[in-house]
Amino acid sequence: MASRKRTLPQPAPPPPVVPVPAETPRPIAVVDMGASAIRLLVAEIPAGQPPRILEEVSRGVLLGKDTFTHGRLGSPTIEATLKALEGFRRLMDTYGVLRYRAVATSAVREASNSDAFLDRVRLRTGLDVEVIDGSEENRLTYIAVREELRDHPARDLGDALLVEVGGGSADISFLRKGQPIQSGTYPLGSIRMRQSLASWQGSHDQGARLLVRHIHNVVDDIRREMPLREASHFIAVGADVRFAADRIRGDTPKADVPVVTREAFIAFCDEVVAYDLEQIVDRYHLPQSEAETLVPALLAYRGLLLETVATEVIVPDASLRLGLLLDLAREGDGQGLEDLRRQALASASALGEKYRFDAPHARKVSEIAVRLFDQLRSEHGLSDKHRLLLEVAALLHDIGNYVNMRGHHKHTWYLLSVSDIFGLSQDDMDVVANVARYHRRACPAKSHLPYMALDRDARIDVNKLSAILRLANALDADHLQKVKDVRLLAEDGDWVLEVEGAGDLTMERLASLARADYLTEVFGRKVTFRERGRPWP
Amino acid sequence: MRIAAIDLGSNSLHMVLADTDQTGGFRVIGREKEMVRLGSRSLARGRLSAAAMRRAIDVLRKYRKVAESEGADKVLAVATSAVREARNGEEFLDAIGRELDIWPRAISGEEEARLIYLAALHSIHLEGRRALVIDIGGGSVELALGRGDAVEMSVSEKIGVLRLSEEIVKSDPLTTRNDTRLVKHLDAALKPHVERIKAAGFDVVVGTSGTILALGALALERGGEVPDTLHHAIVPASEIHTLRRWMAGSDVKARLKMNGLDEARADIIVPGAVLLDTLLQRVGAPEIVLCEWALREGILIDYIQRNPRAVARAEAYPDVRHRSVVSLAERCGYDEKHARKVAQLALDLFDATVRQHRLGASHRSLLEYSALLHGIGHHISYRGHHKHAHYLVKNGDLRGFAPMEIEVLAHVARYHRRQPRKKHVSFAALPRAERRAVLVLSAHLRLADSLDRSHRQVVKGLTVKTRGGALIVQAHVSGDTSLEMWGMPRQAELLSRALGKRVKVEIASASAVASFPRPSPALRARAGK
Repeated sequence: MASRKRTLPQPAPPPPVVPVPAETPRPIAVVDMGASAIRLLVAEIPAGQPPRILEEVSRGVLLGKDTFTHGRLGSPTIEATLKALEGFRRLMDTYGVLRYRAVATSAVREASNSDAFLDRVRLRTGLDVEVIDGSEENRLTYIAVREELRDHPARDLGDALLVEVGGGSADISFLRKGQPIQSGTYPLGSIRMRQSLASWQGSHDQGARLLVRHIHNVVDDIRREMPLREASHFIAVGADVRFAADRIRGDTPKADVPVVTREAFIAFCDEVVAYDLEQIVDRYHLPQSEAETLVPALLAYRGLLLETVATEVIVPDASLRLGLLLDLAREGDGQGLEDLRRQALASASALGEKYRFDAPHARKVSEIAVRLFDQLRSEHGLSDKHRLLLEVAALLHDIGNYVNMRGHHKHTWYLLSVSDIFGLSQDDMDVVANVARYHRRACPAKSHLPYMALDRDARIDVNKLSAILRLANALDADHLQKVKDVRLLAEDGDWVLEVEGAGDLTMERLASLARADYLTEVFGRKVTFRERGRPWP
Repeated sequence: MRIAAIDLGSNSLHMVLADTDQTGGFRVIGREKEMVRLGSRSLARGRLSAAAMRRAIDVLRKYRKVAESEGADKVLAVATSAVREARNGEEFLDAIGRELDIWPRAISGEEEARLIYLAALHSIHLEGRRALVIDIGGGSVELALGRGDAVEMSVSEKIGVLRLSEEIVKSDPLTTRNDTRLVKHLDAALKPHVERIKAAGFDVVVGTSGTILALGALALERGGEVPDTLHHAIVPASEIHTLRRWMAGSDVKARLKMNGLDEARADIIVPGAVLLDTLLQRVGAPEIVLCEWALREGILIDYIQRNPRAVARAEAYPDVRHRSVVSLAERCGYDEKHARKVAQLALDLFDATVRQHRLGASHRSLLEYSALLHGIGHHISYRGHHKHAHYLVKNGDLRGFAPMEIEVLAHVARYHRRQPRKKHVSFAALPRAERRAVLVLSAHLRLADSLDRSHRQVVKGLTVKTRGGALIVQAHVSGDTSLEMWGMPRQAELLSRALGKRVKVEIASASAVASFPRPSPALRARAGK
């Protein structure tokens, strides 16, 4: 779990152009490289207050068009991006920014020359850009939306669908009482859909119909994964839908959060869809690149809106970069991790339900696992984030049974390696999947490919966390939740686990004695067990 | 559905073979029993002896052969006290799994008691009466108390006859001293349960297990009554008492002379008699009803109760392969209408092109099954759903297929989207004949799938003609086919290549044959990537 380098390399401390008083912390900055533009936000975070934006810059660079058409970033685009980023760097230096986070999404992620490109960025500008996956995008957008909707009823009441149609793909989250329990990334990116129609030689109308059909198909699949019909609120994020909301609301006084009715939104979509590209540029005075994505994007929002029972479309001004900013500002703040934990667990429970897990057993194993984790802190030296990964792995360790009871630990690995849990990155999920796989039978070994695919630090984390999980699982061997508490005591350099339970703990005893050996191997201490003062033979 | 249920007891291994019926019940068609004495000495030592484990595995191997030759769809197995108390219990179960592909679950004493109660409930005419069910096994004794479906008590005590005979009853005949010791030991173990039973009250006592049936038979015989069947026979507690007193004074020679006593039981029957008599006296039961059903029937009932859909499906799909496929598809929430339509169209195409591909009936059924299963990957996630379909087909416990058939099925399902490529490791690893089958079958599947791209089943059927050296497939449609037309020419092209004969798809509606807008060459070139 190495954290990305986030401080700018400074050959010598430059003289700050803007003198910074000692009390105010330095401004922070975030850079977001999207499919049609790269953007910079510089803000300062006065203690105990929300961030105050100092500078917001956007440069149109069509990274998405290159990647989604040719699969790689072309030289002119790269040059333009580098120039723009140099300008951003200069601005950041002017403000004396030290802490920053720069991310790139699907347009860079899917380019075959992304590594070389990001290396050039680093050499030219000193900026370390992180490529993030769909689940991280979802997490950050959610943070921004939650901030914007702080005082809005949608935040806490009922269920909501949060949709962001980007250039490459659409990020969709289903919120239950405001908490994201499911999220995913789907092929409804506006630029991508536009590109697939680029050489369509039929009429504009036919093209639009094809789009509608394609969107309908994808929405059908989404409906099988998410209970769209249960969403009573529809929250839409993105430049295209913001444009639509502005046009629909026209000159009405601007409320805090723009809201338009379902009917008005659909009517606007129908109106726009009838126009071809030239007409859109003319009528709405949009640059070509924005005009191109308008129809596909609006059709995607419309297709999803129709599935819900929402009567309004809420369009908060919540962008990925705002989410980045808030996330960076809150780094090191315990509340952030606690929120993340709640969201991840809600999402994990939903996943467990989908695969019909034995919930009481899963929760008990999870409870025992974190109990052991907490008592072993001085031994394992792992962080609270690791604790969360253990908790999630413990909750979902048996979902492989859904595929087949035989070899279910391997099926658990497969399912977790391809599933999304809100708030956890792909790297996180790789660890979770491996920890869950090793809850029974073989211990991590060099011959196991998915394990060896992890980097060394991650492998060590997996060893420690799975050793704990194996024992926690053994302590509910009967699946009847008989163990009430466990206490770890150090005695003569070894460990004694005091087990407090109700009823016949024979199964638990047998299993624990068998599984404790890996714990000994990883932590180097022998483990014996005691129940009601008497040792387990 | 034919199910085999095996009980790995401390004394004997039992198997029952049964056919389920539509009412949620079953009909027993066969039984097996062997006294393996798994718990011999192990209950004291805490380890199963190598000899006992070997004996058990040999018997299980025989049982498995019987189950297979009788066409059992499912084999259920549970292990009780001898295994659950042995340090090498899990190892033993693993070994059984690896050697025989039977996976017994070690269940707790409480669970054992509950299942035994289920067996009694479903086989004895209780008519709403409160029943106390007693099972005397080799390692443990189970007691359950309930009325109807409500089980109020289910407990297990480590006082089975094998254990008692090896640890306490060390003399033959039973000396007075040992008798007293035995009764004291039993009282200590039974006291809390007896109190609970007396406080709750009961209307009838039911006894299951070989030991109780043997004792019951002997008691009845001595009393001059020999019923046709032991099941439902009522034995007065006084006759059990008389039998016990005789047994306590007998030696093994005298017992072996008894009519109706299995000689393998001659030693353990004595502690059994003492136990049963003591228990009946303590709870104040006037009589005991014998029950021939026990744990193994309880396992069956429990399975049927927990899996009503599986059982119902078995009635609907007698063919185990088809049933297994539908079971997996349903589990994954498949779009049934779409899947069936794709299967129908794929088979139509397959039948029309037989002279080109020359594949046979077994491949035809694989095509049908892969069509039914092609969408199951969506249940896991949209992204990579074709790969998930592959994984699920390969690992999702499909029954009745040879391993290579599963491989073909999994690959054809995966390739319902995109083509097989030599650089795909798993595909390249298949033998040549199977690679060809996958190429041909998946081409048919993709074309069929593209003909229902909208998932609205607008293509009602296909007719195929030859015209100018090409196969003309006429799709009879009703409704908007724009989405179907979009992807279909490319799939038709791929099928042509796979078959070595040109295949063209045309839309037929009423009398006219309509053509559809062809995508530009540029698009086709790009799509060919």
